Amino acid sequence: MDATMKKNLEDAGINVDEALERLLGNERLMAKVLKKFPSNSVSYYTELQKDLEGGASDEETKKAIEFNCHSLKGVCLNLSITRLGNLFTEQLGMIRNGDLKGAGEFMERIAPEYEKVISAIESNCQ
Amino acid sequence: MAATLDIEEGAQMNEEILIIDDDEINRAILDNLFSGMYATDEAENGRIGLEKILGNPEKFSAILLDAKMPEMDGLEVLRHMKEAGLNGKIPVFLITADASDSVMREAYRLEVMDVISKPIVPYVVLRRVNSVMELFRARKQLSSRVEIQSSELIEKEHRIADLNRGLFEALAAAIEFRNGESGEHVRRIHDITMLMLEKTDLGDGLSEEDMDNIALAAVMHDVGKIAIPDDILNKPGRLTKEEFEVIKTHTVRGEALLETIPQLRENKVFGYACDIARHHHERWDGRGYPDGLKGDEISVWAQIVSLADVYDALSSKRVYKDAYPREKVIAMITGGECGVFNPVLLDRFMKIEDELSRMYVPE
Repeated sequence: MDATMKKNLEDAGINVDEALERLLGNERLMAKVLKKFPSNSVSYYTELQKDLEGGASDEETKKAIEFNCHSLKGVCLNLSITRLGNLFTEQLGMIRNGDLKGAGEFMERIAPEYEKVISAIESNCQ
Repeated sequence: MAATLDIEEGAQMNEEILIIDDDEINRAILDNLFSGMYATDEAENGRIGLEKILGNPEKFSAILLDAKMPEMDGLEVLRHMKEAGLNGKIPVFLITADASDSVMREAYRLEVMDVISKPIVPYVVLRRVNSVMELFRARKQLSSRVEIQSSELIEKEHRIADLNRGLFEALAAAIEFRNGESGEHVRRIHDITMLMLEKTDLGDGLSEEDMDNIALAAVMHDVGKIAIPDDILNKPGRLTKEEFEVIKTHTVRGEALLETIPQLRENKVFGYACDIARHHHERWDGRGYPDGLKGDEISVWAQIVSLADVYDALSSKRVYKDAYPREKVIAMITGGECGVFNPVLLDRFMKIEDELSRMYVPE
C-alpha cells in the first residue's frame, strides 16, 4: 500500500495499521473488504436515516433502528473505520436510552463522516 | 506471520470451523483469520447456521457465532443447540459487540465456551479458539486411547483366563493319562458339576462366575494322584489295606500341591480347588476320608463333585471294570454302595440324570 493511499484512508478516519493487523497483514483482503463497505453498509444506513426521520413510533421500527445502528457500528469498528464507528457507538447509546430525537439529530454529524469514508474508499481502493 | 505460526501448531486442516455472521465483512475477517489452519464454512444467519449444525453435528470442531443477527440471533442458536444436546460437545464462541451482563449470563447458561468481544483482536481470538480446540482434540484422543487400552486389557484378561483354564485342564488330563484314562473323565466332571449348579437349586446364591470357578476347580479334584506310585495307582487287582491308605492320601496331597502354586492363590478358583481336592471323598454319614466330615460340614461343591466322580466312574469303562448299565449305576448310588450321599443332593441329581446319561454313549 502506498503512502498516499494510507494517508487518504487515515484522513477519512480509518486506522489502517489496526485494520491490517486484524487481517493478519493481508493488504489485498483489506482493500477487498473496504471496497465492500459502501454496498454492505448502504442498506443499514439508509434505513437508519429513514426510520429516524420518520419519528419511530412503533416498537418494530425502534428495534430496526437499534439493529441497523448496531450493525453499522460493528462493521465500522471491525474495519477500524474508527471515527465513524465511534459516532455510531455514541448514537447507539442515545438509541438505547430512548433518545430517538437526539439520535436523529446526530445524523447531521454522522452523514458527512459517512460520505467522507465512502468517497475515500471509492477513490483509493480499486 | 511469525507471530501466528506457533499458534497454528497442532491445528489440523481436517477440522472445520463454522462462522455464523450476518455481515459479509465480518465473515471475511474471521475466515481470513482461520482459513490457514482449518477448513471453514460460513452461514449468513442463525437459522442457516443451525441447519448446518443439526444436519451434521460431527462436522464442526468449533463454531464462531455472532450474537446479533436477523432471522435467528446467536442466543437462539445456542438454545436450539442445547435442546439437541450439543452444547458442551462442540465449542461455541459467541462474538458480540455488546458483552452486557444479561447477554453473557444467558450465553454461559447455555454453555457457550467463551464470549469474545467485537471488534475482534486477532491474536486473542486465535489463541482462545485454538486453545479450546486443542483441549477438545486432546480429550477426544484421550478417550479413544482409553477405549483402546481398556479393550486391550479385556482381551488380555480373556487370554489369561483361557491360559489358566488350559493349564488346569492339562494338569488334570496329565494325571488321567498316567491313570490310563483319556482326559474325558475330567471333562465330564466339569460338565456334570456345571449342570448340577445351573439346572438345580444347588447353585442358588452363586454367580455365574462362581459356578464357572467351581466347575474348573472340579477338574483338579484328583491332582493329588500325581504323588501316588504307579504300581498302586495302576494296580489292576484288588488293593491291600495299606495300598488303599496310600491311595486315600491323594486328597490331602492334592490340596498341598495346589497350595504350592503361588499364582493360583490369587485366583478365585483356588479356594474351591483346595476344598474339592481334599473333600471329594467325604460322605454324608461321616464315613468318608480324609477328615470324616459329616452332613453340611462338607461344602455343596465338594458334595457335588464326589457324586459326579462316583457316577462317572460307574458309568464308564476303567482298567479294573467295564462300564455299568445306567440302571445299575443308579441302583448302586441310591443303594449306598458307594457311600452315603446327601438326600437332597441325590434328589436333584435324579432330576437331571436323564440329561447326564446322554454323556455316556455306549461303545
